Amino acid sequence: MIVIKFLIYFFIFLFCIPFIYLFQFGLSNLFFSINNLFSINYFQLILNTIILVLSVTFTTIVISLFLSWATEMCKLKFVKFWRILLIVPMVVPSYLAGYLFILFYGPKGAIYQFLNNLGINVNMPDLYGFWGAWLCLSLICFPYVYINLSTSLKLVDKKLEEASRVLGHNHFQTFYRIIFPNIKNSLFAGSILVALYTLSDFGAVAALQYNTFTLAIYTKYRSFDFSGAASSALILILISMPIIFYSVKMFVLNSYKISQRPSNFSNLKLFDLKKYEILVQLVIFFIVLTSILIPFLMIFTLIFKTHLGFVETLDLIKWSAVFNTFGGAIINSMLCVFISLCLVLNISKKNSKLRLIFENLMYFGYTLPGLVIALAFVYFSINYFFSIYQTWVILILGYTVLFLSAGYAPINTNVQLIGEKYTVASKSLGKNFSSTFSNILLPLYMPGILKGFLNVFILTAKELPVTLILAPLNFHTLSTVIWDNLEEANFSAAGIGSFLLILIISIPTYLSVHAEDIKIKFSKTNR
Amino acid sequence: MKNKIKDLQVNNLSLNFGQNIIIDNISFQLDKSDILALVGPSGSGKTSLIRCITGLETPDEGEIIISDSIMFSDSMNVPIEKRDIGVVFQDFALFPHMKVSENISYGIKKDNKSKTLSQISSLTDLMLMCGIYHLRDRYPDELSGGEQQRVALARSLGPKPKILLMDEPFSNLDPGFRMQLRMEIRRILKYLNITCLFVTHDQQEALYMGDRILVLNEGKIQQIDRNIDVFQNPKNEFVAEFIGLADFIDGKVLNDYAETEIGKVEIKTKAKNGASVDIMIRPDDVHINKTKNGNGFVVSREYRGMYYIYYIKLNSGKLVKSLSSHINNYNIGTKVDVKLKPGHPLICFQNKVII
Repeated sequence: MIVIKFLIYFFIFLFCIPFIYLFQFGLSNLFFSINNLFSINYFQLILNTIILVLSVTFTTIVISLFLSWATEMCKLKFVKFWRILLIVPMVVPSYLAGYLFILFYGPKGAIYQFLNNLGINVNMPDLYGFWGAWLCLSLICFPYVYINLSTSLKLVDKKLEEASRVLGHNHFQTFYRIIFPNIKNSLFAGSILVALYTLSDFGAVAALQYNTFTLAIYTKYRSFDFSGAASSALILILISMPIIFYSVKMFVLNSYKISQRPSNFSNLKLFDLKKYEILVQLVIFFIVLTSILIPFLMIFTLIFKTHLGFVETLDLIKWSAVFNTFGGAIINSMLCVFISLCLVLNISKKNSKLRLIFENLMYFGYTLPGLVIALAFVYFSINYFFSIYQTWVILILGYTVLFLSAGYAPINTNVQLIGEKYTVASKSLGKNFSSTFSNILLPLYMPGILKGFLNVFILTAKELPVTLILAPLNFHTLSTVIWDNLEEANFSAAGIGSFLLILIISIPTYLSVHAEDIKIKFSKTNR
Repeated sequence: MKNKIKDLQVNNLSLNFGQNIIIDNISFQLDKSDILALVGPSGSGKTSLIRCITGLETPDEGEIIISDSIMFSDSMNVPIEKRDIGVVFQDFALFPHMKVSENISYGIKKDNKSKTLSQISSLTDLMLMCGIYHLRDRYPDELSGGEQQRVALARSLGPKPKILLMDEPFSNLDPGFRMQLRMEIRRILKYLNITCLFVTHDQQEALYMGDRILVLNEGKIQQIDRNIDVFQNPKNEFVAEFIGLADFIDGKVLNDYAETEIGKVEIKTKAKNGASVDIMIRPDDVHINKTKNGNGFVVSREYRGMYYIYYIKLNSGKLVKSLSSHINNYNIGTKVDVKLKPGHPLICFQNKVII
């Protein structure tokens, strides 16, 4: 027990590192270099960042509202197919999406070359900057809102819809006045996730050369202006404080909830689109085309650009990168699950102060951009703990600080849902804690543990900035391999790396989104 | 007979789910300001019938007419929101994000954007009448079951529907409270003279709430009659057993009388002399006395406070029920003398149908 207590205090300390960095190093430099403060156009950076966050969030809300309405409330052909396909954009890492975007739509991109071959010479619109970043991030982020919305649409009591229809309101009035207020919270939760993603994203804006805070911090770090990086990071945190505060308080926890279906289903007929169905199908197809088909098509064209065979292109990737990606993700997921379980089982008494501190710090960790956490760990290890600088230990710790909450939230919710009655029942039957845990609690907590594990696995596998900065020299994961090769225009290697990475994370993504269904099947076979 | 206004007509309605016949060619009518209790065991098709009338389910065949306008036929299917029906759902389905007053005014049509004075006063009247005016600013999850029930009723009455459908409205309430609420709601319905179709699986509730009762089993109408007639003159053995406790005992007809193993009894039948019939006896028709050599003995008993229901095994092996005062406390195994003293002619069945 003392070991576990120690572990919890250790992680509380780890979570404090970014704050030490920001407020010790960042703050002192902010005032020390007050003259430099106005040499960089902070105002422009702030404006750029805010505009991007707001526009991406708004766009994803519109897309997801439409998609979840169409796939959950309308009579639609191929609906099961669409439901699976519409979560796929999540698996494309943002840095990859940014590059693919340019390679397809850019000035000398695929469309341009295709038209050029046909003898048509057009000037492609300049997608560098805001428009590209906005489109690209919107297209890979909308599943975060869509998943939230469609799950909560499934959970809205269909009787309410019947009652509203009987009281003389049609489908759309009912949606607006009855359904929407009941799914509003999960819409907020999803859009907060998107806002945070956009705020902390570094890959897409770097690829598309839109100058936001994260890009500015990275550029400063690369040009060895460490104090400038720290003070920029501090300003980024200060402007994002409102979102962070709001999301920490309410939504991040909820968005990973393990949900329970209502027991009595009503088979109210789905809305019949009639002749408009073809229109809706076309819109969905267009979204799938731009967010899934084109990126995947581009990945394959990249792979075969060199006229090598598929097997030969595979050799362009060092297998150690695949191994590192897998290993890092699995070690980190197991660590996160272990810590979450320790925390949930050991300080489960409500209102425990320690737990409150831990949870709040953890959610702050999740909302901080990975780049900032990476810089904080570099600063800390160089100054106080040089022996772990540029080792895999600090890399894993960085991952854990960044993603622990994604693993903790579903486990915590699951434990809360199960409650204490089974523990009490089992103990009253004369079983000790370890027997109760392995025979009773572990099977009941399994859906949450599984979902937590998968969440962390996916996030870690496609993580870029922390890996770039904290990894030991010559330590590569698939994401750094893709990133480096894209920067050096080795497109085939980047293509095959992307292919492998997407392969690795697509199955966990599918399983994680459908974790509740797995639970249902699991319990049925047990009967 | 007076030519009454028909508020609801259902003609030859059928509904199938694949091979399963849910509703089998049902026709009935509902007069203005009449309360019809629709009763049947679970799976008899009650809820499906209600859903067809509401428009939540599309029947395979038939016609539904609500006060002279066709709602459903071969060529017509009026959408739910235009049918002018009020529905009280089993679990109330109150909108959780709206206050009581907002829930109730949700269905009331606004002529202009602003509420007119008459609308506000009718909303207030409605809440006062249902006894929920003091709850108007609360949310549904802050209300007790009975209060939610009354809000649900007020909400369904808001748009002044032509007919009101109530789908097992009391089944989620505790039994002691049900009686009181039944009385209150029947009073409101009668005060408003509203036409109502009331679904329940509880025969006591059906007898209390309904002016008339429709007994449904396996998708077919077993009987539709005034509540007294359904109890006293059931058309078949199913209705007899479903509405109140009933036993059937063999007898031979002889000039308005029949000879049974527990005595001679007056009967009402068209059967010819000498025919054997099944005579319906209710527990209150059967009297028992403790004796040494009785023609039956107590197998088990149910204590219901004011009275006992005794289960008696006759010498022939037949089981009958008897209602007996709480003073008569007989142990299981006690020999008793069983006699029929109905005080009115009993009805007879042959092949499970009245004769």
